[in-house]
Amino acid sequence: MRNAVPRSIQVTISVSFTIVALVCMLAMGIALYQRFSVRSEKMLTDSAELTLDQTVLSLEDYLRSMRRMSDAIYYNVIKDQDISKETPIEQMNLLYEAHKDYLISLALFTEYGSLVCASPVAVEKPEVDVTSQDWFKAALDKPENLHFSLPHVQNIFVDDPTFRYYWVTSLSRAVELGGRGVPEQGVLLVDMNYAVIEQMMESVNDNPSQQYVYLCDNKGAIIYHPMQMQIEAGLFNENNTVAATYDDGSHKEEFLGEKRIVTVSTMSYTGWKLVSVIPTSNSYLGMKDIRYFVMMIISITLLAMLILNRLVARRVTRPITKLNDSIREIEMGKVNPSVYIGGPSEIEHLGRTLRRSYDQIDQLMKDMVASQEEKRKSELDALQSQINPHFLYNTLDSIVWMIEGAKYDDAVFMITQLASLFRVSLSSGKTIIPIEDEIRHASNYMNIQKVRFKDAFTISFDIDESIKRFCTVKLIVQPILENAVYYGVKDMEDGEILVKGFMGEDGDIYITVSDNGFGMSSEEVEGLLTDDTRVRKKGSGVGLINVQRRIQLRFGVEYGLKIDSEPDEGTTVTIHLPAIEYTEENRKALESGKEPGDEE
Amino acid sequence: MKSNRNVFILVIAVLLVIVLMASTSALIMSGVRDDPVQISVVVDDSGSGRWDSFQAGLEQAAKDNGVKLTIVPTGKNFTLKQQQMAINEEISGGADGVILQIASSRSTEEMISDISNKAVLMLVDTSADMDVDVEGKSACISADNMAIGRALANEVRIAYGNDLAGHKIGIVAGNQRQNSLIQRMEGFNENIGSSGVNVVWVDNSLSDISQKIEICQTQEKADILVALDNSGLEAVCEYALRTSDSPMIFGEGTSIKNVSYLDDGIINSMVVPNEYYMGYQSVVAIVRRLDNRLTPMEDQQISYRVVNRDNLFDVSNQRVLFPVVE
Repeated sequence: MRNAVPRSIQVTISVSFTIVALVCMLAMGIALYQRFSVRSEKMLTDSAELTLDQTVLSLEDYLRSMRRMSDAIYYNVIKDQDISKETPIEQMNLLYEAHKDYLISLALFTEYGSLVCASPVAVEKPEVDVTSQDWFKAALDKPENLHFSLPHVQNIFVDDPTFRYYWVTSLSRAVELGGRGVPEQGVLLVDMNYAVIEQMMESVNDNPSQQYVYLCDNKGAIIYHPMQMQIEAGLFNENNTVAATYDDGSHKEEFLGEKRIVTVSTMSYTGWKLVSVIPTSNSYLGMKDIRYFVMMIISITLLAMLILNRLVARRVTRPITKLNDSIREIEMGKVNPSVYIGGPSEIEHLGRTLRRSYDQIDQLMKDMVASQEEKRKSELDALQSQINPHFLYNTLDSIVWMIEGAKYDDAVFMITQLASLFRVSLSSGKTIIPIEDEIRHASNYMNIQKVRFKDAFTISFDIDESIKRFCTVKLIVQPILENAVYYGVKDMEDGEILVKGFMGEDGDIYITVSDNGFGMSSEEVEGLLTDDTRVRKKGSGVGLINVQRRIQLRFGVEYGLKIDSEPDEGTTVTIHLPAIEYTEENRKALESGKEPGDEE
Repeated sequence: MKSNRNVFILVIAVLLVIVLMASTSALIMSGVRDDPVQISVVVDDSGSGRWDSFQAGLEQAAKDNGVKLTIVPTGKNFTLKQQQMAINEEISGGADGVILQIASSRSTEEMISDISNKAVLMLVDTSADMDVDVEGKSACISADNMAIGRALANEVRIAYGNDLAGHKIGIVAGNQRQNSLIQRMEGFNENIGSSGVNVVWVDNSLSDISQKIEICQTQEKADILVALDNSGLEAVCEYALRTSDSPMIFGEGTSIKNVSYLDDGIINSMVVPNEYYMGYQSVVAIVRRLDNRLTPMEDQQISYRVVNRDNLFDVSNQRVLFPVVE
């Protein structure tokens, strides 16, 4: 896949930036979220505790005032009064009137449940038995305490014609009824209006959030709950029995799959517990607004990141892209492409190097084309020399004269030599031949020339057998011999030409052609291998410079010809060749312009 | 390749812009409060104490769900036509849902289909004839009325130790055009049938019931009076208070008046359906339907309890019988 989809630097940088930015953002987000949630939780808990404290204070205040009233009736009225003679109804009426907003009724019962007096004056239900009611039993069970009951519908007095029933919380206590000789026990009942507690709690719960506060006794029985009716109807559940076991303070709990923060505050004396419940979904992420806000922030950040990353990546990669475009131009083969040089120092350096390399390659290509052209021209020249018409005409003319002069053996010899000469010359179109063949060609040529020049000079070949199976460029000895004949020994009486072939100490092959002719000045010698414009007057027309080039094109510039000449003493031309054994592979390699042994 | 990449980035950018716009508009819109759901309630004699518990449930559910609740003031014995007029007026006034105690369960197909096409309809207390409603555009929430009828008969049997031979029963059957009362009657008859009791009269009056009872009693006096609905039970008690006879009274009721009669010992035994639940759930069902129109509404059944003088003030009964704190 990695290979199948090549990625550009820009994408890599973009993706890397995006990943890094995302990771940073995520880490920051998580850290912020943690911080936010902890703070938010603390804030909510603090606020809940504050609310609870305030509510506890006002509830305690209310209950305390009720207790005080109960105390007042008991200690200031009942204890001092002989109830067999006079009931404390007047005092109770006074106290009732003073507190009637909070009270439903005040009543005093004997320990057998008969009503002594009540305020406001009311008729007891004929069949009601208060002794079976919880508040009455609780008062007599623990006479030393004041007892607050759970809210209930008052069931003592005959209801009025408007069919009203009152929800009350009963504050009951055992009292001593004096004045009948033997102290008698009784029960003083203060029926507090439950609506007062309900209103207090409703005002606390009057907020649009899911947070709510409820009131239960120390066993968890609910006194007030904003969803009391739903709980009764089975539409809502509350963890009240567990909450009643919690100590004061905030607690985290999971109830019916919902995580919530429960804050508990216990009221003094009654042991009632005020419980605040905050579902965690309410506190932070549950709030729709926060969710939208977070979404907004995330999308803005991602969008900014996308644009910025793209811009930065583009800016960083622009020089590389431009350089890449330059390379593409070169690849497409555009002539004289403009290589971008600019951007940061590294890219500039790359650009310069590319430009230099391109220039060098261009130069090399040009050189190679020129060299190939030259090679082609030299080969053509050499080919021309193979069938020099003048040489052929002279030779054939000599053969004709021999036949006419009945020198048939000589004529046969001439024709044989000529045939051999052409065989080597052609060599089936090969340009690399064994030294043996080259020497044979030279020998054939000299035999013909000797007949033509009527043995005006002698020729001798001294070739080491060991070098005969090495490679040479064909037709390199014959032009040198031709020069030796035409410019050296032709007009001499005892002209001598010596051809030697041997392997030098350096392992290369040397073939020398020496004559004892007129020789040349050093200027002339220099001109032979450098002046290409010289016009040859005699011979095949293939100059030494052509031989030199052909050797160097095949074997390299360290090889070629060396001319030593002294005027009136003679000339020695040395052919310097590498020792490359003649095999088919080596031949083919050399002909295709490669070093022998090079593998494709 | 490069163009693919650009398209990909463009698509992501467009998606991000959409999310950004959506969240921004949602953030702005969240500040603007939606119009609250409006639900109108049409029940017979809306001012009656018989609905106290039901209305407490309605109001609590409306508060919990942010619903604007309108209880249409109605008199006694509204006809179907009057009810439909009142409902149409409410719907044109913007009501999204209607809670209806239908006056008659017969030939109501057209009316129900008409209303449920315009607003979400929840029938309470009694079911009614209606066309097949595959979409669940309306539903009914009521008690198991057959069971209530049977429970009443049971109470009568228990009171007499299952020996009812020679006793006479007068039944105040209420609006017998309503399925609920028809079923209560059926349930009662089914259970009382084998007891050997003699049903001497059945009164179906909708007005001046107390007087009608008196007339029936003059014709043939029953020593057991059974009322199948709240107003019938109140009327029976009023009759009992007027007369020197002391008939044994049984019936279905919810009003504080009936509770008081039970407390005073006038009523022997009373069946009380959980109408708080009926009121609460009817609002919740309408809100749910409005929130998700694809969810069909389903019929629901409410529970009932049998209350007598002994268990009237039991903790478990107090919240049902006295839902309003005074």
